[in-house]
Amino acid sequence: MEELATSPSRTRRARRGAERHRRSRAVAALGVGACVAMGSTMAAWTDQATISGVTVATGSVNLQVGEGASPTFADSLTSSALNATGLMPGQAVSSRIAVRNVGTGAFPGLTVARVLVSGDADLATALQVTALENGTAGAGGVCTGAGTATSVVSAPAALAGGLAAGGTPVRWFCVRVALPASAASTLQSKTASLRLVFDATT
Amino acid sequence: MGSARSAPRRAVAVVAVAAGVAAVLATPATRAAFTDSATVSATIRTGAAPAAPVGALGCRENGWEATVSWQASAGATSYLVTLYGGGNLTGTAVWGTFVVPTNSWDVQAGTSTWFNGDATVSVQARVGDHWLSTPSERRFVYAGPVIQGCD
Repeated sequence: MEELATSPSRTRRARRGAERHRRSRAVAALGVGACVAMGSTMAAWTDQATISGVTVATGSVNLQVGEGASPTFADSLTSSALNATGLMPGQAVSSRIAVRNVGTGAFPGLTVARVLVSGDADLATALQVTALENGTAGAGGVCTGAGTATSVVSAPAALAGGLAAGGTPVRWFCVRVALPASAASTLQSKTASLRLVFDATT
Repeated sequence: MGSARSAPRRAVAVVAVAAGVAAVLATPATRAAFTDSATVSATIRTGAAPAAPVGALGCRENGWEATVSWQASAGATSYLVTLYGGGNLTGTAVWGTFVVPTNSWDVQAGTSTWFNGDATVSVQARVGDHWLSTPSERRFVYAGPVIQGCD
């Protein structure tokens, strides 16, 4: 009976205790949430430090060509010595061509190729073009010298080595354009305008 | 356990250093990618053999005369002309050789050299310092009236 008499009050106390416990947990949860929110606010505080005076200027590569013993350099030139009129089989023309880099950066490779600008494609194909490093151009289209001779074709051909910056040293080539003695008779009275392209390469 | 956890950090550091070395090594290649071109232009014109000469042989008193011309050869600066005799003088340069600046040859004087009524005119073009190896030739036959000096 005693248990029966005390049972309702115990039940009320237990209910009130559970209610207080739920409130405490809710308050605690709010506190944690507030702390988390406060933490985010604190992380937004920031600061910076800077280093000024970081200026980057790129270098340049600037190829130029010239012709003759005392060349005038330019990005492009029309050769006087390589302009041939009345070229016959077995004949050739030659010229001393200078190449330099007046840019601020050196580069390791140099190539040369030939392009038919206009005129007869068969004649352009038949012409033999060579570049002799450090060669000297002589009468009758002769190139003399002990340097390396490179055949100049439509695909870029490597001229071993590159060019330093600042315009020196200059690389010299004797360029020879020859019509082979075996040239076909159909190539008589033809004209071909060629362009030799020197390229700075990697 | 502590040293076991630090091993991955060292590995990351090594990888980072290796990446830095690779970046330094890559720098020259980046520089070399800058490029530029320069060009030399030239125009080549071929020459041509002269066409076979046209003209006539004539007979004049105490001699012969020849008047021939030919199509100009591209690039030619002069021509070498030879008159070869006929008959028993075939192959003989009866009047010698002549260098003429234009594409015609007119010899009125002649000689009394007998060449049996026919002759061959040969023309060779000179381009620059080079004689075209193959001359152009044509045989002429004199068909006119025979007068004194002409046989």
